[in-house]
Amino acid sequence: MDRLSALPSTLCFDLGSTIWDDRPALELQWGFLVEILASYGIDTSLEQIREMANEVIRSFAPTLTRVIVWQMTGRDEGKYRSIIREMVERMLPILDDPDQFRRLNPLLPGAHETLAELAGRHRLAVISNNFASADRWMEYHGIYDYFEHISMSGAHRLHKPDPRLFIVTLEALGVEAADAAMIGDRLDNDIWPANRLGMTTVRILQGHYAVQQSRYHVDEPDACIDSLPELLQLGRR
Amino acid sequence: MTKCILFDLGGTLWDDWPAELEYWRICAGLLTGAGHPCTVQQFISESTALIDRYCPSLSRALVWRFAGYDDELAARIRKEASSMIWELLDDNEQLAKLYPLWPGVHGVLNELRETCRLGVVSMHGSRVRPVLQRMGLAEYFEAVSLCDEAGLYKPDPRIIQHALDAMELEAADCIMVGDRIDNDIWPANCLGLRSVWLQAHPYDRQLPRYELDRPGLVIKSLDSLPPALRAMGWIA
Repeated sequence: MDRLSALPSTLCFDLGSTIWDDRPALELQWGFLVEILASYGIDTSLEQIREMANEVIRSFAPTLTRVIVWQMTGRDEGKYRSIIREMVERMLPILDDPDQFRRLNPLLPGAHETLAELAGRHRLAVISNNFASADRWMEYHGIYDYFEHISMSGAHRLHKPDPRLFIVTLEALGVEAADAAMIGDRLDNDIWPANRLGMTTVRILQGHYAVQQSRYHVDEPDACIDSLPELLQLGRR
Repeated sequence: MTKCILFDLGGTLWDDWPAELEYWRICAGLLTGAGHPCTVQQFISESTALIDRYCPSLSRALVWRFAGYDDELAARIRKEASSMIWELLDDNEQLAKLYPLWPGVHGVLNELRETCRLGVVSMHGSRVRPVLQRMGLAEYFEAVSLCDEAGLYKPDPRIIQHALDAMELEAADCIMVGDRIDNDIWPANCLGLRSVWLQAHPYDRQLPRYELDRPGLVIKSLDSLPPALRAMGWIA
């Protein structure tokens, strides 16, 4: 699978399951979801949510928790929107506390050191499906300054896998797709759009999405790594 | 009100399935000849799982898989099979058999062009243009945006934007009609068009995964499109 001899000059990173482990935060969110659903008369359990999540991941749905809520509410748009809003209202104050955030989204092993080293040799950017305010979460981990540009979907109202979020990023940096790489954990949201644009693609096998298997050749990354420090080896080859 | 309706082609104006099966039959033959034995039955059974994973291109995925994930072999087989299927389609009888128009297509397009402009956004290559002529469909459409020509592939929303730009239209004034939640409805919703899902085999099993997948309107057959659009107040 690895067809990559060297990393290009610009590296774009996903955040969740690429730089930090968002599984503890997801578990908390799903716990809230079970409680909120109960208040709407929808009976479920954490175990059931986890099972649904596995199915959603395998179906290549663009988002995870939203799809679960959509299905749990029987595709009732009104309920869906209120439940999402309630969930966000419960999650955000917790995540905005630096200590809580770091506990619920710990950096993946070697992330800090790897980014520090790469920042000296490459231009770094973030492309993430996230709140516009997620910049501050990067500050909580002390990694904000390594990045020259940050594209949060919430700020642009463009969400992965829409390739336009990637184009916005490349244009902001003034680089061609051929001179940039996307590093992410998802075949659908990270690798597919970047491949479509002609970027170099590196898949990191972390988190819930490590089980995704390529549907066709456009899902195939140029390289696959198990952990972020392996990027340094790729860069040196 | 609506200024323009954009249509997908295969699966939306005609039934794509007979051509798909013929294409797979040819591919299975070529792959078997190239030392990768497989059957059209295997293509069919694998296709369901790919539809359930919202795979952007069924045929590309199937050929790639049965070519042992060999990109170059897959590309060669697809190219060869394409020229064989297009050769078949040169014959009018084969064309009618492989791309059977959905009942009432001409009536629907004739009626709709009285109320608004019509366009096409399709995954097909340039070779579909003369086919549209021969089917008598080309005259209905002001602009035809094809993925291969634009270098933009569904579900990339930019292929729909390409059609809007060509016709100098705003997304909010337009409707996208297609048979696929992933390739037609999702990108149309991303851009802010209204969307109509023609729920037909084989993509009828695709259900909206979340709100951006949700069609504004669902129809079961193309001939019900004009009354359904009127009932929504989308056309006069």
